[in-house]
Amino acid sequence: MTAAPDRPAPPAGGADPFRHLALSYRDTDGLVASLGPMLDAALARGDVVLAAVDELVRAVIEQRLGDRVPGIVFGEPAQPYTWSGQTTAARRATTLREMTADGRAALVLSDSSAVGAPDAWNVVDASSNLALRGLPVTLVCLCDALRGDAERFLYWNHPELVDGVTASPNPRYRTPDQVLTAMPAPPAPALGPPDHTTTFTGAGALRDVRRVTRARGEEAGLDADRVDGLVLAVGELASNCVEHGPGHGTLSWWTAPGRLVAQLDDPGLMSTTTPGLRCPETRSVRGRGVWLARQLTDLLHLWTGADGTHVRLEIVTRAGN
Amino acid sequence: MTDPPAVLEVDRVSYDDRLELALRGELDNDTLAVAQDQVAAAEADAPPVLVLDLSALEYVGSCGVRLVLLAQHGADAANRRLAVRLGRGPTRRMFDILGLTTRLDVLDRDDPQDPAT
Repeated sequence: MTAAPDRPAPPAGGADPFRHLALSYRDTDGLVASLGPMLDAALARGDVVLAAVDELVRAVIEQRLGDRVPGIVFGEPAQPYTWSGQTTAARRATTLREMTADGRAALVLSDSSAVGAPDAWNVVDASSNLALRGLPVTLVCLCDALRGDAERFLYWNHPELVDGVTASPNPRYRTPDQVLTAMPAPPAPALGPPDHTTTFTGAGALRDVRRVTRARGEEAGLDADRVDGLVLAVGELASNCVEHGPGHGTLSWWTAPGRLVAQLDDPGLMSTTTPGLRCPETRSVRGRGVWLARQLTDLLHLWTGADGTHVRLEIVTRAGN
Repeated sequence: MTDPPAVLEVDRVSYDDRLELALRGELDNDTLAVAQDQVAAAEADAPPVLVLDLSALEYVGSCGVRLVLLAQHGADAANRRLAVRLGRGPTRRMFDILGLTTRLDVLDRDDPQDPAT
């Protein structure tokens, strides 16, 4: 991941430019009637317009816009998708922060087919509500009204619902914390035995954690900047185990084709459902470690289970993987 | 795990117009207290300008950001000036990622061989 200019979360009480709407449609005519004015206005303003939609919806948009289609970027800002909804939301935020750094706003159309299973979509949506906070982004989720589980798709994560050309508040909206409490982040996929495992206890062991991490990064062939980033990311996460967790943990490593994988485990319980998703406010003196680690890795996923708290991180080690 | 704990050294140099604290070694949660003590002692002398030089650190975690921001809050409250040197390596990169470089008085923002004021 690359560093992006910071756009801080809005001050408490200030208006958040981020909007997250759900648009339910029954047929293509209804979809065009709702989407058309949004697209017209966004293109007229010169906004960034992205559409992460299936072929059917793409065809509808192309037909509606005609020669203005080149103004749209088809594709999801979080691509390539991973199994981690947290990571997808964080990638969206990173990409959109970069794309709007020049002062433009962004309109993002997204349909649920892109992310997959309802549970995964739900985590992405709830996490996006935190990760995109403060960005000048309007995220419109398109939902076929005939599909099932509309309660979760439409009502849980969208503060506004679009009916025709009008957006109105959604009284059944749930906060990200409520959603992710009801549907916690799932465990990362199981891996085989690690190539290397070390344990650490207390702040005095953090230096050795960094030494081991640097060695693993260099062995994997990462360039100097990526090694430094990996060391900082793992250092922050291990420091969290020491400072906010039980004071000790385990660091394990796996190598896989094109990626270096690490996992930190400790027996403590994470106190938040939404770790490191919200861009830290610049005046805040704490709460940067996990967010920072997300910016320095290609995948970062935290979850809590009966046996404690776990963090899986991945770094891509070869271009094209 | 056999490495000894991280070591942090702080060099304090007074000039007519400023007091500089140059940190060397590794700044993490294990060594943060050393740096905090030195900053507190420097603040007690009420220099018109306090410079925290992080450019020679071999490692700095986000606790280094905390150190700088707390010093900034202290300087603001006392109507004094705080400035930092971040170098061009990982320390600068971390502050850049966090969007803080433009919000601090960074002496070596454009030129590593900065004038001190």
